[in-house]
Amino acid sequence: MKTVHHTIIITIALLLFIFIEHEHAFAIGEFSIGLNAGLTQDPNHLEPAITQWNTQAKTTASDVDQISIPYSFVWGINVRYQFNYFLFRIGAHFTSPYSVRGEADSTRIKISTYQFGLPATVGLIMPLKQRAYFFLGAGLTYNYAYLEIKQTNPDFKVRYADSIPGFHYIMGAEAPLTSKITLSVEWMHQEGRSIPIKDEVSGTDKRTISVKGDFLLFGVNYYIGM
Amino acid sequence: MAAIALAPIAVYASPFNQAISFYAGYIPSLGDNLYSYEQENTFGSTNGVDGINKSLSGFNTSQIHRLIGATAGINLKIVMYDFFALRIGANYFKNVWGGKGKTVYDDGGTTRLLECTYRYDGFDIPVTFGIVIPFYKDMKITFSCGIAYAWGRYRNKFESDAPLLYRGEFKGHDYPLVLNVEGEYFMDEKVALATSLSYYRGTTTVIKDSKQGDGNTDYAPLDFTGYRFLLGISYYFKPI
Repeated sequence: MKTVHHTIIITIALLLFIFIEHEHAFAIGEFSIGLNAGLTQDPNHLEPAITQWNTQAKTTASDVDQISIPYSFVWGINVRYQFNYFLFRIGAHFTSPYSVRGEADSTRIKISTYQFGLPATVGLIMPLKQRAYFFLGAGLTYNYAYLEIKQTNPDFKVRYADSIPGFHYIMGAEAPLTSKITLSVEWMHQEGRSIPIKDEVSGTDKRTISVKGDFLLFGVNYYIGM
Repeated sequence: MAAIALAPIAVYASPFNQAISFYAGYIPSLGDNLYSYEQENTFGSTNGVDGINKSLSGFNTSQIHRLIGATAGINLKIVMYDFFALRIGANYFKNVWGGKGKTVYDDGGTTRLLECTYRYDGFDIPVTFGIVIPFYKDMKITFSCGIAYAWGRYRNKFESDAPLLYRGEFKGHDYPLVLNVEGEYFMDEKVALATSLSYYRGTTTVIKDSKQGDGNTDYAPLDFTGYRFLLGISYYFKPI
């Protein structure tokens, strides 16, 4: 698995190098820097575990405050190079839901989780008017996911964290605000699953983390003159 | 953000335009796998309709498929400065195919035939914001993201000659994330044929069965996640 991680990191670095080198060689495309913010639901795909906990709580406890499947803000940045109909992009995004808690009688549970992603995308753009694009793309993602579940009565605590290779595809559109600044709307779907990760607390239990999910992102992009 | 929102006013002088659209289409895998607690506890399926199908020689079983739903709705779109759009819709959806058949289950060591029925319906109000891209003179592509209020009702029934009858009804709402891609081909300056792909993602917490009288209480989440494929017609109040 480490070989896979290294391969993805090297591939992303190589793509970035190619973009930069290509830009120096031909200087026919455009560079842009983008800031993204948006929403995702259920980062690190906890829905099956949450539904299982909720179902067990509802069928055994008398007073239940269920765990809601969390929404989470996403923040990101990306660097993009595009020429003709092609798009190359390296991004980074972070998401962590604010509060994921539940109660069943005297039992309390709290889930802390976050996800960091580094997607490298190759895509096609459909230039329709100046700085107005429709784009489609796909690529590899390096993810780092963290998950901690803490419960009282009965007490237990588990913590898992690891890097996870994955892939993604994107679809979006972009329109101009000024000659150099654009506004974009984008959907990214990503997939990825870890190998069984050892619990950092007990050191014995293992579980997998899935980074399967959808991101809705609004962005502001700035085109750098060349 | 306010500065960004106001910036186009200085750049583009074109007025707002509004459009109304009527859509109809279908939803594959409506309600996703239709999991409920009793399917796991009594019939041994941990993943709803996906795991309920079993067969055994001597039993006349038939395949129980995931639901396919039909949907119809209305959509209002405000186009701002040629490139930006706010969409508000209202849709009704209902299962039209699948979700019915016969399987077998283990009733304490005795295999019995089980007749299963799944139904799902509801409505949603999506609000999305996005970008409109004019494509030549007679096409527009709109890409937008947002959130919806979705209300759903999932009903199931399991009947065997044990005798056994489980009926469940689960009603609830959620706020799924929504993605919409819409293409419009203009037949004249105001009327367009439209096609749309929507993706919803959202699941409720576990809901208690509201069906009384069968002696059992079941629990299930409502899953609104899935794709919607739509065809329709749009009318723009001002010529494009």
